[in-house]
Amino acid sequence: MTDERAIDVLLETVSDAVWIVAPSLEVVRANAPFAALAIDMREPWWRDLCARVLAGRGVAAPARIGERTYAITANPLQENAGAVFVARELTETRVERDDLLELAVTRIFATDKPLAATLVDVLEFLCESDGWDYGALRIGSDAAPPAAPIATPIATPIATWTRPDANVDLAEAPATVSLRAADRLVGVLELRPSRGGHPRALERAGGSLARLIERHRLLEAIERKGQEWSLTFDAIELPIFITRVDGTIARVNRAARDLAGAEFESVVGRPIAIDAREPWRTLADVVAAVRDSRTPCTAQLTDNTRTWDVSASWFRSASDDDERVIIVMRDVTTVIELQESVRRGEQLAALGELVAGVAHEVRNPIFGMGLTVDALQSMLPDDDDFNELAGVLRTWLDRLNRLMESLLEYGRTWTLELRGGTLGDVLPPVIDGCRQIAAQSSVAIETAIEPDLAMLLDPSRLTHAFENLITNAIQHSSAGDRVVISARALRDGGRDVIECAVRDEGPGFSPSDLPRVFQPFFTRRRGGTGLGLSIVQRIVDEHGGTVSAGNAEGGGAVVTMRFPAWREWSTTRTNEPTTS
Amino acid sequence: MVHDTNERTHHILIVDDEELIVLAMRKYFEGLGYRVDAAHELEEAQALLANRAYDLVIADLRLTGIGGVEGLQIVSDVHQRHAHTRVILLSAFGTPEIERESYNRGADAFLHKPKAMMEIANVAMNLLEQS
Amino acid sequence: MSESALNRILQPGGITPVYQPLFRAAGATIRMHGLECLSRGPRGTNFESANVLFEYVRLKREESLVDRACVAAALRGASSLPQGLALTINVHASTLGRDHAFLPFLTSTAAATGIELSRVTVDIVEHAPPWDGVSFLAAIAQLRDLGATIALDDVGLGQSNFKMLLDVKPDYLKLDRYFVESCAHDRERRAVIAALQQLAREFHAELVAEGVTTKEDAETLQQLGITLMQGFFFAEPLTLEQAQAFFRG
Repeated sequence: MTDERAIDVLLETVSDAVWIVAPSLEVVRANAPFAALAIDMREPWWRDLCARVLAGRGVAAPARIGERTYAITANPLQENAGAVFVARELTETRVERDDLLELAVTRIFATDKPLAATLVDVLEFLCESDGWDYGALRIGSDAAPPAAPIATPIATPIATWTRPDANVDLAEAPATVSLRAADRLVGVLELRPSRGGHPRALERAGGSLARLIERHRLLEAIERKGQEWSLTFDAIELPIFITRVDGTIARVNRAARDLAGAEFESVVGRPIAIDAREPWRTLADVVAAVRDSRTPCTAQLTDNTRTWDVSASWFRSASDDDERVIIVMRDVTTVIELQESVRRGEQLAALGELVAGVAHEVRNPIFGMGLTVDALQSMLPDDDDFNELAGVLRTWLDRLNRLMESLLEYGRTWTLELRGGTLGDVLPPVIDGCRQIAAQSSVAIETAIEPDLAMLLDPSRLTHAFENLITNAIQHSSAGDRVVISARALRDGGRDVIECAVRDEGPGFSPSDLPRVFQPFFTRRRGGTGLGLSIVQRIVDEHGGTVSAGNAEGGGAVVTMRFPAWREWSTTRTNEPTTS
Repeated sequence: MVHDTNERTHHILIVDDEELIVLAMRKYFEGLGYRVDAAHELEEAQALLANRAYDLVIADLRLTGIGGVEGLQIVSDVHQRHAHTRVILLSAFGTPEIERESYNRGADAFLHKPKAMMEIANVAMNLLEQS
Repeated sequence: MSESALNRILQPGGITPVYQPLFRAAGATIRMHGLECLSRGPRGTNFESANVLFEYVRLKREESLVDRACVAAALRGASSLPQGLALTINVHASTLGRDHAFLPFLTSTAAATGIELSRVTVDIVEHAPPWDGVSFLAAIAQLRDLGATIALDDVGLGQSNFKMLLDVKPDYLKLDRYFVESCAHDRERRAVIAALQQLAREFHAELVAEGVTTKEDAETLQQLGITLMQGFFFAEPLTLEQAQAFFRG
């Protein structure tokens, strides 16, 4: 199998669509499932996604392509080499096939010893068992080839060795063996038989060497050519550990390193039971179980903040014939979140359509009622009782009308226009706009907003969300209370996020209400539509963020949103030249 | 007030497929002293427009089921037949594109439902005073 | 509006016939010649005006359905009126051209109401292309076979044309009120009428003046050789009850 082929087979083994995009946005490598995806490269979401990933940020986002929904994981490659994308259909789980991918990856990368070391290892073994003098071996590529080698190639297509002349007494003069790979001289081997050396041993050693060289060249080529694939491997979001059967970590990818919270050097060679906590404790058990049964094993484990599906398989390393266990961890917290988000999105879309349809239909009757009251009032302008009741009727109509407008707002399908910006651009105008309402209720607004919180945002939509949250907070406040709006950057699970919170000092959420506050029509406020927080959730969803409601420690409600930070924006901002 | 400023009675055509909306508007505008005709569908409005020049037409954009924009046709018809007739379109769902289109065709006002009668009447009176 | 206006028009009683008396003036003697059957739409609607009614019907492209309703209402009413009177019914050219069942309908309605088709003049309205095709001309021939006479409406106005005159060879040409009104004081109008009168003579047809509202106009028309006239000067359209009372008295 050639190197090219190896990588292709690897790519085609996967059921997920995998593709690599160059910084030019051109797809430079892809597998068959990618072709089946039929992504329209002109679509805004795709360009958005590319922009975000090429800006240096890993992204996991649901995407609707054609009739299906996919979880797209995208990670930048090192040194601005582009980005790798993996699209997994959310509707099915394909653990077994994934395992194939990961095993294949291991077989290639497990054999990573340098040629010289491998040769020394093997020759040492050969010499010991066959009686050759190990100390007499010289390996190097700078030696001149023999003038007229006697060609007796041993069947091997890539590397050949040249056997010494049969008439030469090896005991008198050391034999020089040229090692050739294709047409290139890759090394010269000097051999001197030790006492009682087996006559066939040299031949066997040469054959083994030739095979080793072939394999090494293959690996070298794969590693050289597959530098991109190596980056891809690192770019795979799933943490992958390869351990020896005693549980010593032999190899990890970047995600695994992040999970272990350590640098590559400090993880490799350590036992998988890095400490006594999860997930490490269970992982050690998994390794033991696989080693003992030599059959694949799956488990689910959690460290209370995250949940992983773990699959582990046993295999024999191609490099040193040693046993290995490969562990692939899938962070299903994200998948579950994505699935929920997609489900919610679909529900919202369906509900939104229904609601917008109803709202339209209801508009006309409301309009008609309003007109009728107006007409009646124009005919009875002097009847005070009638006018008072007409006023009441109008109040009810106004309320119905507000509800309709909220419903339409909630149900409307927006074309989101995300662009890079900072919360500092969006928040102050909203807050200023709310100060008047706050002042009417004698509520103070305080802010604690870090500068340069860059994210991808749709200013008008985000403004709407903050308006809802802040007016909501004011409405639940008493005179003299404060509403605090804070925003800060932080790192969470290896990602840069922006956390933004709106807190009040009102009665807070009742604990039994908490699970339902984002549901449409859920309200405890008389005259409220129960759509404010639902709309907020929808907008936050659109921005790839999460929103949660809770109660502050000192009392009062707090709604917290988290958005993905956008690196490119902040980089361009902070890297602006300060001197000319 | 209206009676004082009008030297002759303005004739208004109200077009809406909701008979009850027509009823309320008719009563209201008659109360203001206008002569009011009403039509409930596009062709009825067109037949009336073929027969008489109105001073003002107040038409709903949608006169049939979902997605109709018959009001636009009325705007075109009015301007083909009677250049001096003013047109107000009312809509519960008008998009900016439709609004633009109706102005292109010569509508004088495009009002989003719901609107209070007073607002409609104010627009109507302003248009009639201009003409 | 829950029911469409068209349904209300087509409902039983939706169309009310009225009868416009047609007179023949010979010198000082004026005798009633017949009745033109006109139609009014449902009471209290815009369609009480025949103009609005038929403009609407044409926009809806339902001329044939409404023509049938009008003819049925007119003949049913006329059955209670004296037998000797000539009756004019209005039919759209498109109805004759497209509704192949219209003539059987007319025949059976006439039979059911006891009205001889020889008393009936079919006044063809809206006889513009493309309703002047083969099936239309075939219908005209059939009407003649059934004994009916043919009138062309609105001669001289935009929609009439000489080809139609040649093809149909009508028995009567209806002179629109536009030419009739104040013809006594308008030389040009008289010139048009005289020309049409000449044309009618060549075709062995007779000119019928519509919308005669003054004595002077009636006398002018008479001087131009026109004897068949109708209009407010002679009589307003009669409801069926008025017509019945008129003929009883």
